[in-house]
Amino acid sequence: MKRVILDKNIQKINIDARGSRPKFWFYFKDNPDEKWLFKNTNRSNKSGNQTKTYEDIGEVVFSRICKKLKVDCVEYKLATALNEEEKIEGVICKNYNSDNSVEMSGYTLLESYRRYIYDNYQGLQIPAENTLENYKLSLENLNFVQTENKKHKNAQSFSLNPEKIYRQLSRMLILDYLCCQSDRNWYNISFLIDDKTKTLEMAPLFDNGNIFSWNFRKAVIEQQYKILKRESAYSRYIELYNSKSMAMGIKTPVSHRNIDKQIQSNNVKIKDLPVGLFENELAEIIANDKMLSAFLDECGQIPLFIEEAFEDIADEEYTLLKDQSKMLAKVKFEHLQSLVNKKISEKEEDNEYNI
Amino acid sequence: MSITFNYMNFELGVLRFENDTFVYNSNPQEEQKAKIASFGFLDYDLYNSVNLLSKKPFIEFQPFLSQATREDIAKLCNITSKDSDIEKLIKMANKNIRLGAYSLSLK
Repeated sequence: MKRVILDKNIQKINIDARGSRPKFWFYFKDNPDEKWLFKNTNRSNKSGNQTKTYEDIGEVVFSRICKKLKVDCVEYKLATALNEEEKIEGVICKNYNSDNSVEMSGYTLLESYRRYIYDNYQGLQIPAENTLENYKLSLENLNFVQTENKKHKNAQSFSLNPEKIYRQLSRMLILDYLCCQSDRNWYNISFLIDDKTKTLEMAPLFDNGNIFSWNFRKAVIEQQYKILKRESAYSRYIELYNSKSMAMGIKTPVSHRNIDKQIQSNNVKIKDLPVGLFENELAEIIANDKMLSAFLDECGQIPLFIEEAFEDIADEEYTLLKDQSKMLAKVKFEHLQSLVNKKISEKEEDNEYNI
Repeated sequence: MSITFNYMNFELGVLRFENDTFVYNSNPQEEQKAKIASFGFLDYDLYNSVNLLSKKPFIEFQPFLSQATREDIAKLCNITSKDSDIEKLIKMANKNIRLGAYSLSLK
């Protein structure tokens, strides 16, 4: 895949201050109506091995996996931004909110639920956790509030389908798990309210580049691959995970951030939740939903999708990423599927016993 | 010097810094318009403030401060590690830094 060169062919609009990586909005001079975002995926504008990450490849590969699985995701392209002083590697994507719909982060959605419960249930405090369960409760509550609003013909009311959004979040979570996503913090989940249809929908997935440890230095990835290659069993994965949890991806449904200390790094708090607990919860969710079970079956093809995603990213340098990620995705898929099958068997046994 | 805190095109209120204290004054009409435009989803708790005082920056401004050290923002705004919180906010407002639908500007 050739990098799109951003040079005198673009007009910068402004910096986007969201997120930890430098980014700016721009348009191509031959099409001023279409806004694009450039994101620097290295740790610094200064080039060199110490600052380089493979998040750019992560963004592209994840978006291609999503496309194969029909999951709504922002499409990323590799890009290099040139100016007088620097040559910056990163990715570009089109603006997914071109009609300026009201957009809210996962944080805003969960916080509105927290406030509602506090205000309506005598100061009851609910945990500030960026978890699937909390999203489910928030969406159900929001649906209830909006139904009431409609009854009272409140101009601010809108519609939503909590089940549909919950299932979209679950699919995201399965993909995040299989791809060792380590940065699904609540600012990397977004919702849009379409102004015309007055409907709340989940925004396409974005900022997905921190997969398979590709946000770490090459030496870390090489070391992981070397160990996994010796014995690509799940126990080996867990061993690595426990020794270098940050480098091995998520431990929670979506990583936590302390609501009271918003500026604190979201990575600090994900260390203590045992991976087995999360996996069992995820397996339970999948086992109880036939559509999610079918989706998991499709995810068995992720190693193949990775192979295909790398077809036009032919650089020798990326062979390591391809081989390492295929192996990780396979190991995690097999493990998750065995957990789901176990849950389904348990359920069937329970049913037989009840009969 | 005063900083305007905006949501989309709505000027929610004005932040000043006097006697080592942050002072916030709301623009209630704009706050209401913003509340309606956002379907009630504002990350904002400063409604109807009249000379609201705080020794620390109000939490609504924290997301901006936490981004002040990001390489491109610090460079564009000429922010240094010696700058105080109010200096950082003024420098960011001078460049109309946007954080999603929220932005800062100088009054």
